[in-house]
Amino acid sequence: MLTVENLFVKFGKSVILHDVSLNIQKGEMVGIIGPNGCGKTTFLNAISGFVPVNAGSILYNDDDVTKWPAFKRARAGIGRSFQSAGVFREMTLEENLIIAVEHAHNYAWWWKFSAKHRSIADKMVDEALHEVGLHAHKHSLAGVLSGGQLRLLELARLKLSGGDLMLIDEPTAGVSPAMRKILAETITKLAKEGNRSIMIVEHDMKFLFDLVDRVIVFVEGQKYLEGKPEDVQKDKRLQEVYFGS
Amino acid sequence: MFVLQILLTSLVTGTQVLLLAAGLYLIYTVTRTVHIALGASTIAGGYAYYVGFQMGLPWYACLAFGLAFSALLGLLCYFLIKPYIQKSQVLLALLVSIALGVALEAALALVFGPEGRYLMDGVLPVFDFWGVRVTQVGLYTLLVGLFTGIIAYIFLHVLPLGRVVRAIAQHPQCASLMGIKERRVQMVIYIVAGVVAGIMGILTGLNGAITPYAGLQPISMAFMALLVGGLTDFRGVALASYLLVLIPELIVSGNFGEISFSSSWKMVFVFVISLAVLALKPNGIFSSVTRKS
Amino acid sequence: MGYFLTILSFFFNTLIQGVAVHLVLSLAGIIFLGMPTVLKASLYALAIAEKSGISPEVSFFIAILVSLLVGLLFALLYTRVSPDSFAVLGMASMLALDALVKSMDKVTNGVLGISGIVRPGWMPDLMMVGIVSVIVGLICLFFELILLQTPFGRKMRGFKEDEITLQSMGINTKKLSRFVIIISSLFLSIAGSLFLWRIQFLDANFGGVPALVFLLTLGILALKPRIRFVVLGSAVVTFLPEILRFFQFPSSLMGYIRDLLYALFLILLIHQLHKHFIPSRRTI
Repeated sequence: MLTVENLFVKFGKSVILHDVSLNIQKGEMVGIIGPNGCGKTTFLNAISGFVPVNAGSILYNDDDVTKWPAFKRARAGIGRSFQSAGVFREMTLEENLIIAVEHAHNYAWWWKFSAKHRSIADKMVDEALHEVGLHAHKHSLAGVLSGGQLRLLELARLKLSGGDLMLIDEPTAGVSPAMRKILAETITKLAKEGNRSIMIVEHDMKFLFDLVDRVIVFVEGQKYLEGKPEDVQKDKRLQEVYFGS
Repeated sequence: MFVLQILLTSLVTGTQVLLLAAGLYLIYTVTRTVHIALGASTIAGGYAYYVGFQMGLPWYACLAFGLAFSALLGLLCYFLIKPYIQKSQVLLALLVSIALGVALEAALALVFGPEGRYLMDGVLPVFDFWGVRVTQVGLYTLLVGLFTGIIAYIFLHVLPLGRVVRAIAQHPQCASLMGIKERRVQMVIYIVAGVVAGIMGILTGLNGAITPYAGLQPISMAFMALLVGGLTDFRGVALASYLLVLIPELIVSGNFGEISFSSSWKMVFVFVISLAVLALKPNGIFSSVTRKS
Repeated sequence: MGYFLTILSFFFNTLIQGVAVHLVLSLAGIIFLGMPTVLKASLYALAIAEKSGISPEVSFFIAILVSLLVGLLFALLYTRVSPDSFAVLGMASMLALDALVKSMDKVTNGVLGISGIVRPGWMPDLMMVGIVSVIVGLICLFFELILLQTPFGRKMRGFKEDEITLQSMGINTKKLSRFVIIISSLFLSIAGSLFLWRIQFLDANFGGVPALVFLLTLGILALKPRIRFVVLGSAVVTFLPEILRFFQFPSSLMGYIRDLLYALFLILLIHQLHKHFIPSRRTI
């Protein structure tokens, strides 16, 4: 599904990603961890098109998307969440999800005047909000939600946007343990329902290791370790990376 | 000699633009707001000097009055714009600044009338340096520019206050956590920018007549210098201030056969040059790419 | 009757300008300070075309084309520079165009402006100007009403808030922003043409900062994404200067007083109403 080959990204004179290669299969959940500044978010930005790539290639479903702008990659099926939740705070929760629905399904400009389309869209929005437990706030502005609730809304939006590959950036940042459990369940459901591939960048290793099929450790812009969560967890090199030798 | 004259004239005018651009730069770095009313404040400072002059006060008293008035005006502007700075409502801060500028200009026109006012009697002394001429006020402008530049360098790079300004510019919340009184610093910056603008207005008035609506063109030029130079890099602002004056001056003074341009074309050239530079370097001459976290 | 027709035409003219400002400033959040430039360029195109002997109807289409072209230039500029730069360049463009029209006096008549603008044959008097202004105004309002209900309207609101998120949803935000600026320019041109046919004289000083303050006041009054605020804003801005009629100010001072009144009103408006227009956020 996604093949990254020899990716090289730099800002000015600083090399952020160096010779990174990666493969993700359909339906696979991959976690990315690493110390701060190792290039995890830059890696997500490079795949989703928010950062230009200096060398290397990114293939998504056999298309070379390396030079594609962000919106084109999103249309091709690469969804993305952000460290600061990417939702529209001055719109209601319903409106936030409606934008995703109408764009994903290519609704015509007049769709709101069609009872049939409205009913279908309403059903999708209601289901999505019920799944993340936010249906009670359907008509509230997103700006009144807490940080954890904003992330849930973002995940709901991601689901409705369609797409086979989801890039999720630090979903548990600033979120309570109870909310983390809900986030983990939501992400798992997101992956299973559409047989989606998911790549998660995280610092919370427990959260990540319980969730994903494979873990990749980044250090100083390169892949340092890769393997199953239980194997990576036991690897002494991981401890060296985080706690020193 | 003709080219030297243009260079010297451009140096004087460029210094005036730079003084205004410096005020704008300080305000922008500390508050992220575009303070367009600084143009009207410039002229208001000149009119304050004029009031002192009409009352028969000596020049130093007129100057003190003008600068005190400019400082107060800067303070007033800060208090009117403060609520929007605090909530990062940049659009509203900009709109209030534009409205303030218009209100100030209209008020000046109502009080003093639209005709030009002179800040001194008699003819302005002119110095001749080997065929290159400069007015006394032009010389003062260069001296003020040099003095302000030295003070600004010491302020920004040597004194702790400069580090405080740069800290607030980059991360206001973090600066507050370190005990820096962000609002006080912003207030001081507005006052300082107001005083510098007032000096500019007085120099402009001494060099010729001032009119209520004369502030818009210099402030627009100062802003263009800020944009072309790079909103966060003062080296670029300084360079752009002089280039945006020099190049149009050369074009307007030049001889292109049958084609000639009157001085009223200068603003058109300033705009075109700015567009050309920004088309190539959208973030300014000395812009750099930063990492997105 | 003449006064009533003038006010009616002015109100609906303001309404069309309100729609233009509402789209670009209030909905999309684009600080487009070059609106007076678009307006002025369009007016001069209409006036110069008519003075060259072209019929008023064809001159109108030329004015529309010019406004679309100028709008396109601004649209391309917007996608190239930062929002702050775009705002300041918009303001500077007003000065640049002012300098240009006053310099090219052989074409534009310089500081004297252009008089004797001819109305179309089917718009012979103020009554017809009023009726046409009402019809066009209502059509523009209806157009925006429909637009707000479409995906495009929602995308514009999303664009104002978070362009990156919109891109991550597959929306081409550059195309969106360009379209908004161009559509806004079109509405400004329509309003400007009706205005010029009403007063039949183009002042060389038209389209400066006072025009900008006028448009911005409209934009602030209509900051919420609802049509009723556009209508309300247009009404307030139309009738605000009428207060001056109660005071016997000398005619030489009226222009300054009006500018001062608008500016102070804008400051007061923003100060009193900004909390209501911009919702508070729970998280940063």
